Amino acid sequence: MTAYPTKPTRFRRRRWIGLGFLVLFVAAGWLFRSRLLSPIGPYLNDPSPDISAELGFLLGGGRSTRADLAASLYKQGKIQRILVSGAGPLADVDGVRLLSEQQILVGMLRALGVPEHAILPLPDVVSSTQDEAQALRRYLAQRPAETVAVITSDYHTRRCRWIFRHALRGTAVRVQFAGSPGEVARPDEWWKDSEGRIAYGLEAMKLVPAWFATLW
Amino acid sequence: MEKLTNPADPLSDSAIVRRPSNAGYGRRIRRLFVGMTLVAALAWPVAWGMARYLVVREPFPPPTHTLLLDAWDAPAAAADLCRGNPALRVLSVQKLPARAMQLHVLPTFEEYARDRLEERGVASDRYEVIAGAADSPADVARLLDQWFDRNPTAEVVALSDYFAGRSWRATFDATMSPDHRERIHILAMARPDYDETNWWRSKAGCVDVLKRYLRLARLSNRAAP
Repeated sequence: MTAYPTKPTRFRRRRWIGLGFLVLFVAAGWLFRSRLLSPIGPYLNDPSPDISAELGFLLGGGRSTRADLAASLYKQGKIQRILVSGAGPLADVDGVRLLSEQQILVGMLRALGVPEHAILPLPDVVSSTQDEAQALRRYLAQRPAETVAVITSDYHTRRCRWIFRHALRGTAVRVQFAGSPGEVARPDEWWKDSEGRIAYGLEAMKLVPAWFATLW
Repeated sequence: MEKLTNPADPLSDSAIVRRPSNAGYGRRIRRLFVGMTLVAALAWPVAWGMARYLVVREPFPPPTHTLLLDAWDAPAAAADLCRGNPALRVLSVQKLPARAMQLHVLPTFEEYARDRLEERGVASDRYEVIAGAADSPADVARLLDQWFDRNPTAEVVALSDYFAGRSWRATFDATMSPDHRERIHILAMARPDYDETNWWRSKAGCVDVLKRYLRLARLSNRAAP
């Protein structure tokens, strides 16, 4: 009769094989980290090829270059008005707490030469991209627009696209997405910079719940 | 040598091999239940401990300076310290201004801190700004290191954000000379919105703790000079 290996022997062998695969997997991941990580940035960065909209929707959150992009799009005539998010409590900008995010963004747009009549502060207090998408839906129900260009950071455009398309389903609004480039790091080199690793890493993690949220 | 086995013997190897495939489910369910109970019981202490580890409050000798780092309303906290110590001076490291500051929508941190200190009775001549354009915690540490060369007897209490103390300590240890880093003492200041007992209930708290650990992981790879 053939002798079967005892359970502890089989378990030990499998454990060593599993450990070997794990070491190989980690080593391969480290060796090819550049090839593995580089595509994540361009994947997250998913802007619309051309922007032409009645309304630009400037999202809160990134205060470094989003307002510059919004002002630039306005001056080029690609958007007619700018709806500004970020109403709420005082925002912390490098330890300075004097204005809300919306007040800061409005001030930046004014400083960048956008006329007062083109700036529309969104009254709703929001704390996430989902909130902003729902607030836009409510806003458009009262003041309809055919096309809206959502203005955000480049690495935020993919998730934004999922969230806004889901929130605005059933409406006739066409949504475009403009991403302000290089806010924290270049999309193809995000993992070489510590701020880039944190921003892109968190964004990649947030994609999972955002995708599940689009299912219902 | 071939090993002899007896299938009739419940202790033999063949008996183990021929065990019905659904055997042991009861034990697995019990283990799963015990595991879930343990997770539920340990979730709060683990979450508390994770955040508590980030909080640093180092004992300090009588300080000569208090440094405004990233504490919640650091100028107000510094003014409170100054009230009990008339010789105490306030220090901050000049940062690269944010875009809103470049466009003059907001004052720079230095202008803001000076106003807040004066509002609270701290004269502007007690406030010193270390010139530079710090763009990262490592830049702040480098500029402080140079400042300690010019102020060899200074003892500094650094007012940090509640969960930032551990990463500031790691940054100072990785960037500053041993003598200088021993003369800077971190005091984590409480935040009004969350602490170690409730950080997981808010999105900002979760992101904050996660970011602090990511920074710590990065800093742990750096060797001290």
